[in-house]
Amino acid sequence: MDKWECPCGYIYDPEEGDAESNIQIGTAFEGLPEDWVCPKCGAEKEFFEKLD
Amino acid sequence: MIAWLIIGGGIHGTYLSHLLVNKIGLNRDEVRVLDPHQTPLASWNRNATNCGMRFLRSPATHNIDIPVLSLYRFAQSPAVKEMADFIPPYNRPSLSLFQRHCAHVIRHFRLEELRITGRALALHEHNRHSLTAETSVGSIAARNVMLAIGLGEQPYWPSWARRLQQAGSRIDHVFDGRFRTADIPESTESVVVVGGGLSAVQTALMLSKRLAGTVRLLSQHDLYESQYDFDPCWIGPKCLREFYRQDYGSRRATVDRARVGGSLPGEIFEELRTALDTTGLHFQKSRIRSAVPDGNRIRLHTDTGTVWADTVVLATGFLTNRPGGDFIDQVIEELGLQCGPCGFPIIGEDLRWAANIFVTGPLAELQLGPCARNIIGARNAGRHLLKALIPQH
Repeated sequence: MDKWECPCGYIYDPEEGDAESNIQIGTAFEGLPEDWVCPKCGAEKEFFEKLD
Repeated sequence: MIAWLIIGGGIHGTYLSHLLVNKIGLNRDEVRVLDPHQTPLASWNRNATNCGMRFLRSPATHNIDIPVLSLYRFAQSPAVKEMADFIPPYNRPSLSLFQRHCAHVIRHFRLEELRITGRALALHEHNRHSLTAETSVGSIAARNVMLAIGLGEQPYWPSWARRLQQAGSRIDHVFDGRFRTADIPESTESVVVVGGGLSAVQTALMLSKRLAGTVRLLSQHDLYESQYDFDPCWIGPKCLREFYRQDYGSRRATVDRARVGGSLPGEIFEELRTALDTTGLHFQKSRIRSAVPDGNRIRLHTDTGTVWADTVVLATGFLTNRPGGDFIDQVIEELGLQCGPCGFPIIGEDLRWAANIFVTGPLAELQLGPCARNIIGARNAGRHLLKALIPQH
């Protein structure tokens, strides 16, 4: 599954999930809730870029 | 008359010129960047090299190209793949990779052709739709002006240091355009580096490797480990929402609080710890009360005793006063522009200070927040500008 990077530098890694927002390990970026935001800076999903 | 004159050709001015031409689609002839230096990013590049920076503190997404992942993709190109180096977890690029990427973007998009070497002296409103900049190389008429002036010309000199300099002692500032740390003779027996931030530590580490004698780092406060020099919450809406609810006096206090110095990224903290154990580098937490020439040496009176040095290098950062000096004073006075209690511009979300005057960089701190002066501040300014010029964006 792909990693996605926020403009602030935070990288969403499905293998880590996001415990702070109760996102379970193994959740793909596409599967994140629409109201999920970057835990570091608060940017919305649309600002993230998929890492190659 | 041109459409846009950007005053300042550092990271902000260069990035925004790129954005105006290659994202917004303005004609190349319609955009110019006025900068006193001969080359783009001159001051940034010199300061980074002079303090011995090896890795940026910001992640690779903080770069001067339009696609946010441009630096990553550049790092994959055969010409640089071998030397491409990042520090995890936020993929901070090495200085050499970042600089090569900047040079690549500038060359590829011919951004150097947009530059005019000269200094802004005054700005006059020609009529409601245009401005005239008086510069050291003549008048330039523009429909819009972007003020992208950084702090580079105002390194902070404490009063005791200024007096030493006037007395002819060997004291310099690492961010002074005429000073090269490489010019300190290798045989120098004792150097004191003054400062408590990342630049001071990098300078001290670099000098301790190169010089035969002792290097003493004097800091007013303890150093501690932290990935960023400000909380990344300031890059996005997480902290800015509350910031926008504050009055301008409170915003200044918030910016100052958010940029507390003394933090070091992990690898530098570790390198410092090792160097303190194994080299002639010393760390002393003390405040300098006064300093006097003592023969060919310098005697520093601190609150923890007296320290002698052959050479003193200041790494005390920049004066955080409003940048731009007499030029910005003139602009404010002649055009009657609004400033907060701290003297910084009061601008809108679209970065407008007046109908056709825009602001970025540290001058925009009361709007862009604590990261205004950083590389990400330029990208955030670009986002606001895009929204202002292309509302559907």
